[in-house]
Amino acid sequence: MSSNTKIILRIVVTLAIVGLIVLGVWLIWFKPTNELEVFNNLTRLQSQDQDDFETSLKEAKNRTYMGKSKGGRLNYTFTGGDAPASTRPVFVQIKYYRSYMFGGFENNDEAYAPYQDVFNKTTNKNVLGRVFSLYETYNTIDDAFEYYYSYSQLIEEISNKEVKNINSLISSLKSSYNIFNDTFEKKNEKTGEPEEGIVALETKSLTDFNQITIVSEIEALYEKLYNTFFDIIKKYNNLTIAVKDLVTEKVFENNLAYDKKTVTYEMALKSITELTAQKIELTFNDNDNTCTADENYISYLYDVAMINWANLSNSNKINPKITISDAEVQAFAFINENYGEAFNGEKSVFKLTRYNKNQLANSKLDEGLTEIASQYNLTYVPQIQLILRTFYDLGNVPIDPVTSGGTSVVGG
Amino acid sequence: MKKFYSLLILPLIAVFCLFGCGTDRTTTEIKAVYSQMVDTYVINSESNWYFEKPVNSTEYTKMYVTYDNEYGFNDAVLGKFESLVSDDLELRYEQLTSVYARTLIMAYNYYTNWNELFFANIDSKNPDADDLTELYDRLVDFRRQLEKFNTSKLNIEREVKLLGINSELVAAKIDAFNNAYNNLISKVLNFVNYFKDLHVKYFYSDTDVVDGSYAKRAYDEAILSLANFIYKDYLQALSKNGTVQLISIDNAISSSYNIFNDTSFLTTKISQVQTDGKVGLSKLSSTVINALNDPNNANNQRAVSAVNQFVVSLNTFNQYFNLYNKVYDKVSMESFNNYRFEINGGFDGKDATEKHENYIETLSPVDAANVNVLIDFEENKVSAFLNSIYALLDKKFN
Repeated sequence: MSSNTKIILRIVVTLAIVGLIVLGVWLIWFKPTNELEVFNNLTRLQSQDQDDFETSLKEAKNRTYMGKSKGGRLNYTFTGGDAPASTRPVFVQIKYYRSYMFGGFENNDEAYAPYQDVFNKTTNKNVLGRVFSLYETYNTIDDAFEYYYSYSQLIEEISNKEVKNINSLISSLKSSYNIFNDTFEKKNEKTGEPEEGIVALETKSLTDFNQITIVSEIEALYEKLYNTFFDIIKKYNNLTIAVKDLVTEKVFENNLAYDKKTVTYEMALKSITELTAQKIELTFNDNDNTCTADENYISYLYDVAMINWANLSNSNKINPKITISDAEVQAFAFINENYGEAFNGEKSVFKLTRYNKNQLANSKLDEGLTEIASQYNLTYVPQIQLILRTFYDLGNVPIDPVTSGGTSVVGG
Repeated sequence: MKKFYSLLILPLIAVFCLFGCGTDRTTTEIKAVYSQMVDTYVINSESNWYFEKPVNSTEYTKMYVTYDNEYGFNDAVLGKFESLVSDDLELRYEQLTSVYARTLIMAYNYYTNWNELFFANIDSKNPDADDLTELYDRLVDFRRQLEKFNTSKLNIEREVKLLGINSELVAAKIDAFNNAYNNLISKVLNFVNYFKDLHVKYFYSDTDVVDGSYAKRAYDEAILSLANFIYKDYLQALSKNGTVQLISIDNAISSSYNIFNDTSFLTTKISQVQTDGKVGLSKLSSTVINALNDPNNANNQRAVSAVNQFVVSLNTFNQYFNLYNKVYDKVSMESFNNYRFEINGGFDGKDATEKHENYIETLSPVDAANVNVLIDFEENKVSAFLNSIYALLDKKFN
């Protein structure tokens, strides 16, 4: 072996040894542990992807209902009479998509509340208009996520499988965020101008396209936006449940102590799980500008709206409030510990439609049970009733299928 | 070479001696140290010391602080000295009672109520020698700190005489004295918390009988838990460079939770500051205790249920306080205090939500998560716990 070869060999061996030492030090001191990886990934999701999405979401929500005519651009004013009559049905459809996403009180136009029959019979129209939306539902999940996320940094031991599961949920959610963002507004990377999506179409000049074609395209995009938003709700709810379960097991050692906030969050996550299992398709009738949604979808959305209301009440962000006292917190903890089947599995009260929830909540135990109530262990029914009445605002509500949201929705 | 190895082994021997050559202590020794401390510092007509010892008992003692009143110091502390020069000075004097005396009595209350029974029966439970030795060591620590505190108290009494009760210069002296008070409360908690752990371990670990004694102990543990929280969240948190500026507590923004601004806490439900300087704690209603002690009492089940609910909330509080303690040292108390007490201008924002957002934005994600754990504990868990204490105190079954 020549001396040059020896020198090269020595250098290679030395570099290999140094490399191994550096790798060892990195593994020992710097490599993030599984626990930190989860927290870091959740942090990245929260501080980057969610920020981008929420910016798009707020811009979409705050957009004037149909935009205004500016400099020869499309005029989306439906009620102003400027738009051709042939585009009106499409405008109505866009309006419904927006109402379901952001609430039913755009431009104080009560007639277009998506839950007309429910809306007509409630005494809390202003509150309902705000909370009966995917937007407020997202905010509720977001509050719950923030809560469990804060405690997730205290997880001390976690398996690779659990990390993989969380990462997969995060990744799936991110992809839906991206679809939503691009559907609303995809900007040109160089110029920063809207290139694709709703915003890009809305800024097209009248002379560029046939107005009906553009409005139809926008309607299709709004449908996609609505479906994607719903998908985000589902995925974000699943992720939050996974983080909550991890925190409950690893930080609270399966002995999470409940308070108003944590009970409200669990009620929300369980209720939203049922909502996201529903068919969400909206059916439009162009002849009379009406919209129909699946009965169950309306029913569960109404339930979730009430939980949104309870969540806003906890933070003193809304009036009138749903008052949650220690009694409801204790009732929830009691049922959770002693009669878990009422909260989980096939007999879960969260699976009941609003009509059936109402029947159970207002069943008089000393005057003969309703069919629904008789399916549960009577020892626990009073606590279940307390929870249902308070969180779903069912106290003293007559058992009435219409009020209970058991019908399809028609408006327009 | 042998010499080299023998040199290596020396530190090991030193470590063994340090940890392995301690003396086991007995209940007799603990009681002797305690009696000596109480006798040294008993309050009587000629002294302003710390322990009130009932005539017919050798064990039962309350602990509180009174001050030399020759120049009106004790009156100022009790809020009875009129025409003090400024609100800030008046507040500083009064916080020695409204904050410190109250916290001290809450910290010491568990020991006051249970030490006599504990020492009368502990030997029959065959306690672990290490447990008693640890208790002894903590008691000695407490006694040493009390000696230091006494020196600080004599100093401030002298300062007040020299400067005058109405001198603005006294404010800084009180801030420094607060630090001595902090150290004393820290050692009292260190001792009483351990005593409580041993008390539960040897007397309550296997019991599932909910009677009057069980309820009283749970209530006393709740008061001790609150004292631990108050010490950590306010007294220790506002300690800086050998001073504690408690004044910030009263300057805190109303939107931020503050136990000393909690209207329920300020009432006499938990504690009251009496005009003679003694601090009293509310007791559970005798009708509740009677109902618990008599299985045939018509209200027995209702009382048991109320106590069980209370114990759940106590465990909840302790569980979250444990998590609070895990993140406490990771949070920069200076910026946290700036936020919640609006010190140094606080954080901008049109309302509480915006101020919170602006504060959180200055933090890294990890720090923000830590701060949110502290805030959640303060704003939700503490007030819920206070409510459960009041609910138990309000139970009367009339």
